[in-house]
Amino acid sequence: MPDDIALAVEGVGHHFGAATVLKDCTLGVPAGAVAALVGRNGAGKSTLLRAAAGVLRPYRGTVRVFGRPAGPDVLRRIGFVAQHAPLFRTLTVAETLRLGARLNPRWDAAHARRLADAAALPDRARVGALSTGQRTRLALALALGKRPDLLILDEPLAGLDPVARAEVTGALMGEVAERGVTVLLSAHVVADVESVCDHVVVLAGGRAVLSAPVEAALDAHRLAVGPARDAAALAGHDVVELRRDGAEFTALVRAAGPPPGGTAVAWHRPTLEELLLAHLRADRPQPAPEVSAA
Amino acid sequence: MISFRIDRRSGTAVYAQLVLQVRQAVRTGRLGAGDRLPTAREVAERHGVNPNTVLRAYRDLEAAGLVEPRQGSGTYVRAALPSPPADVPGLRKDLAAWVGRARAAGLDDPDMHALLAEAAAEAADHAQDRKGAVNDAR
Amino acid sequence: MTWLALRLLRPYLLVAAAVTAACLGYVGYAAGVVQGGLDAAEVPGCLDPNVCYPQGAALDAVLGLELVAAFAPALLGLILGVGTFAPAREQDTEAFVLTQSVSRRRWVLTTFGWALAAAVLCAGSVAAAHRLVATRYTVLANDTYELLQLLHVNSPGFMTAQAVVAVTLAGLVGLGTGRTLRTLVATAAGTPFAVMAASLVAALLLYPLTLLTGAPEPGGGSFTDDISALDPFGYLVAAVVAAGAAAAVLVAPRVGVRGGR
Repeated sequence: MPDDIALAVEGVGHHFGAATVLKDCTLGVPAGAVAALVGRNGAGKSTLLRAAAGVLRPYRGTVRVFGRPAGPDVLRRIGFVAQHAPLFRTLTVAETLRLGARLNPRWDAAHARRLADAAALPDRARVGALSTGQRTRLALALALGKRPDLLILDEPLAGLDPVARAEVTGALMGEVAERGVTVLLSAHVVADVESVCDHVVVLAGGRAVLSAPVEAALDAHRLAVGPARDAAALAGHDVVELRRDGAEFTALVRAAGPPPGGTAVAWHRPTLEELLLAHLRADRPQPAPEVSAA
Repeated sequence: MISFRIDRRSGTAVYAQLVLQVRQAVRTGRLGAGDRLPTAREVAERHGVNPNTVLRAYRDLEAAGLVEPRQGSGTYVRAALPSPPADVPGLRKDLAAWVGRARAAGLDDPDMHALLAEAAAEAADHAQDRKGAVNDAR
Repeated sequence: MTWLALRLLRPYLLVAAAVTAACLGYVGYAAGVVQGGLDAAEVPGCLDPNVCYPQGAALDAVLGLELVAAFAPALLGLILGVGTFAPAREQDTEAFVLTQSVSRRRWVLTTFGWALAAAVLCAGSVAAAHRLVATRYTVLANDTYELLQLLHVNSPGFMTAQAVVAVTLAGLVGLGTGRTLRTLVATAAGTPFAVMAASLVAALLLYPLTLLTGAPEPGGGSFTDDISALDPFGYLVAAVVAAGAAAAVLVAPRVGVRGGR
């Protein structure tokens, strides 16, 4: 049973100084999934991923990886590439790969070398002299050389040109096909992850407001579009977000049974982008009770 | 081997695009019996799509009887297709003649597309009605 | 991990080694200058400031020796300490190391260990050179540079302890703040206070210890007795600092686990 769930986050809360980033955050990523963690800038994506990788210990809640507390115990099963793919800039590519071999008992040198060669990384180049795309691919080779069961990537595609973007996603998906590694990657550009992920987690207001397989999430929502005078048709529905545009309204609702007829409201199955954007927009900063009390 | 084209802006799910492209390739004869489809890994790596999506598309194609998996060697277009490939050249000839008439009648390309879509939708409705009528008759 | 720790410390080790070599070279040179003055006055073995108080260049050389002894150890500690954790957290290479099957504990202990060892080696060499080569000349102007003397008390233990304090402080602040500049400033400002605190503890311990072992013999009036007069105090400070550093190193793996910057 623990191996069915690659990552289980329960009631995690964390803050930096006075700024709360995560608040009672709960979510699960099933083994074998390619999960996208979506949220606006500053939503706490990095904090959550760092907690999962065991780099950061949250103040509250538990983070379990394959059933065991995140940290030294499961370190060997986790591959992590932090935001901006940090590596030692003064080391060369060859030295960095050697470092992976020295530090990881389960190191697969041949695999790491293959990935580095596929990215055409010059052995003697200093990491600091590589382009962002090359550095990302080297960091990915380091993370995958560990032969991880869970790969955690923080904004792996940010700052990459379109070619590097396609290469990185290709390398990543090849690994998923070959090894069935579970992937959790964060993104703030929805289009980046649309063809890649089969599971989606939306982080807003420090909480996971949605965590589900993509198809199930799309099935569970409806996009209602109609004239504003028919907005009453939404009564009794769990409305995620309602927007008025002149005489028309658009609303994302959680589907419960067949849509009601008899009005001019059209009910569509949302696209992933519509679904995610509605959830992200629904959490516009609102005056929180504890803030006004303080 | 078929090379897929994934259009991320089309709004069509990637899996549906893969199914459609294999279907079209078989219908137009670009893929023949016994041809191998690229592995999920190859498609995933080349196009940066989730391999599970590719596998799902292949499963659908398999259920439709278009392809069959062979143990350990990949997915192949079936030797005996469930229905013979349509008479594509013949249809194209008819269509070319129709396009000529439509042009002469003053229709431009978008008009023709719209007309074709309408006719296809109508034909689908008729097929449904016929099926219903058959069921009613029983 | 040792390879990585040393590889990352390499630039700082090189700078520290260069500073150490320069200090050693200067100690040799300055001693030669003062000895030259003594030779010229035809009192080569003189140890009495009343007879052969250094003049001109020789006095400057003594000042140089005092300055090296007073400030080089803390400087070496600063060079070696600031590079340990602050840049790794600032550039987030910490996240890279900590997800390479290396526990936080191992990373912190190894890095800290090597930085401290290098600091002891470098500052120890300078301190030993001062004690063995320079003190025989600085004693000739003891009264002139009394304040500077207070900063190193001629004790190799005391001087080396200053480097250890600087490395420990820089390591802790670096882990806690993850900011290189802040670490540099805080360490430079905090080291004197930490040394003072250790001295205070040592002084408080010294009194019961002297009761236990009996008061040391009063000096025989020779000027060279000044050199070793504060040795018990110096080594006690070193012991206090060593204990403090050991405690700090043990808690260090728990510093900065919340990831705040």
